[in-house]
Amino acid sequence: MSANLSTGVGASGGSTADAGLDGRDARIAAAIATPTAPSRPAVRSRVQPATRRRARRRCRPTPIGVLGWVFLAVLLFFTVVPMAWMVSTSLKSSFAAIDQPPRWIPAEPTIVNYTKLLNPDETVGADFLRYMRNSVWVSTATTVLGLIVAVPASYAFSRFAFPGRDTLFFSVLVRNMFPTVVFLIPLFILMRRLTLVDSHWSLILTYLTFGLPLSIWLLKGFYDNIPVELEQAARIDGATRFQAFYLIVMPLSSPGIIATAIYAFIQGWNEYVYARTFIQSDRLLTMPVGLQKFFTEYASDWPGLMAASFIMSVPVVVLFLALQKYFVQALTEGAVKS
Amino acid sequence: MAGVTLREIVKEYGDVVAVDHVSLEVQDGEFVALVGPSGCGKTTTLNLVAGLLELTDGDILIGDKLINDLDPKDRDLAMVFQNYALYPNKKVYDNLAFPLKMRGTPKGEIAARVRKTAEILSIEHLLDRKPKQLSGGQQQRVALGRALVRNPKAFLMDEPLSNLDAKLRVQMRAELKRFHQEIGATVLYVTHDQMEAVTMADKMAVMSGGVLQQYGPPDEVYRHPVNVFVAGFVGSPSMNLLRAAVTAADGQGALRGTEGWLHPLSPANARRAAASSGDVMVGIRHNQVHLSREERPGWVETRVYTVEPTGDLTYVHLRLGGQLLVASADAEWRAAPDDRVWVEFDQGSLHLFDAQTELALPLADAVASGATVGSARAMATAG
Repeated sequence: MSANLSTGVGASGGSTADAGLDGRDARIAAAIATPTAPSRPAVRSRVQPATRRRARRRCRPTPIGVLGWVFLAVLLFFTVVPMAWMVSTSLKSSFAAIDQPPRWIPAEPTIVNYTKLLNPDETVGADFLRYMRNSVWVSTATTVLGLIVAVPASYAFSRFAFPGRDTLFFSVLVRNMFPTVVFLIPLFILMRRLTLVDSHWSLILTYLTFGLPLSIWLLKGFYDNIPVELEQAARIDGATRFQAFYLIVMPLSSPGIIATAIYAFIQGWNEYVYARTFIQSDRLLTMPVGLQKFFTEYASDWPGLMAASFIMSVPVVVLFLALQKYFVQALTEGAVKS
Repeated sequence: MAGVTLREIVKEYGDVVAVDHVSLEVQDGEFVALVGPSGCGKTTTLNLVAGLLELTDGDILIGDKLINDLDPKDRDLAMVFQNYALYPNKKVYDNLAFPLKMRGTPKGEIAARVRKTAEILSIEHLLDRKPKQLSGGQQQRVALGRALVRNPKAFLMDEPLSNLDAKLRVQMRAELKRFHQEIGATVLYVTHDQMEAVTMADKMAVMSGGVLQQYGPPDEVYRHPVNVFVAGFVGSPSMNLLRAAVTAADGQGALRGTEGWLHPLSPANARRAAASSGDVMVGIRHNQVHLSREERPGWVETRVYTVEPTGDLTYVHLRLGGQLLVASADAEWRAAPDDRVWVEFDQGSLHLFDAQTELALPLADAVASGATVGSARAMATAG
């Protein structure tokens, strides 16, 4: 083999036979990319660095690359398996769910858990749909109100120089530097003073306090990337300052606005701690807390719980997919040659 | 169309004076170039005229109308930006239609005028495209079209050609000049490239440090720079500027350079130099430096630094003490580095500045007629 290799190096281009051998070598090296293997490649690399370089150019994994893939695989396993288990269980009957040994593929798949949850005539279904409505309302209100404030605020931070701008800009983040629970009691007392405890507005206001700063930060980045010359051109072309913003800048920042909206929505959708603390009436509960209630009330109904969990995670997954698309679009949209 | 008048305009940012009492009169139909190095205040001046910045002091008039406090949209100007500032989410058609739409032009008229403008600029086939699908030159035309589509009082252009590659820039330069001549537009044109100013403008305004240095037709600015800055800025390659003391040798006036060289002065130049408060700055253009390979009386010895053949003529960079000097010779002139070459400065086109004030020393007599021919030729070759 060493003779073959040396001829391969000697010939500048490398014949097809040599190339094949190199390829096989590399494949072998890849297949046995364990700590025992390096002794041989190490020796070879010292003698024939050209061979190793050529092998690497053919995308053969390096030790770090292999480690990366292993890490990603573990991560993927870690995130996908619970989801898969959730979906699998949600399609089983209560008896099948506690079968030993557990089965990945349900023997008799059923969608009865889903129909039960989505049927407003059943108690469980009525509860579940109400939690969902509450969550949709709270998340939507948070998102809309947040954008109404964040869009002009971030535009102002991006475009105007005013005294204390930087201080103010960083201070909006102060709220996000502390753990959620730190504000739990103070906010609860505040909400009680405002007589908002046990109302959706307590949640909406609270979510705004941490969603808004992030929205402003996100959006300011988008506005910073829109050249100020576009607005200047619009104003010279006959637009007022507001028209320049509304007709030129807003459409350009719409990917940013959508991405920010989705982000704010998901934050509200998933929030648990404040919802658990501020809301006491069952009819006002949002989904995360409602689900937790299911755990205590219907502890034996694993498939039902899993179906509810799955339905709750669907909007998040869908929105995240959309979010990714808009982020990419926002990044690739080359507005102006500069 | 209308003229634009700037009266003692000032723009301050805190303690920084970006534009310092600039006065400028642009006649109706004139093409005026504002030139200067970056940070000289030329773009700020343009933005003040456009209304994108607020004046600290002074007046701006368009025609006879004072516009100091008018919104940009009410000034009836059109502007072409360096990065074109095309609306990326709008098609070319809508980019061109935008200024008309904003002013409430009827739809039918918008369509007619957009078509006509596109025709003039030969961009009819691009009307349905988005700006990012266009080449740099096409984007440039659309930007120009958006300004042309209305009949504004004046056009403001902020380095509109600087994003184009060299070949396209020369082509667009000619087109812009032609367009100006055809429609007789008032144009205020900002550039850092003095070549663009010299080739296109009716008048050029040279700025430095927020101050207007000189304002006049390009050939006048080229031939009679009022100070050392303008002398060094206008013309390519730059004018050679050497510091020298005024002295006498062999019974006539002479210059003694800080590097030790000695060059005689004609009686007329000697009288000019005598008016200086001390040392003088000698300015001499590359084509007014005579070269000789043999030593001649009164000529200054230099060493060749490098030789740059350009095809039409050869630039010879010479070392004079610690200074570099550029001279031009005919296309076949060659020399090896460190060859000895003697030079003489043409007396008729010598620029003399007071080294202290940096202002030009006035001409005592009429300039020799050779100077005029010489600079005209230099401008042609520089272009």
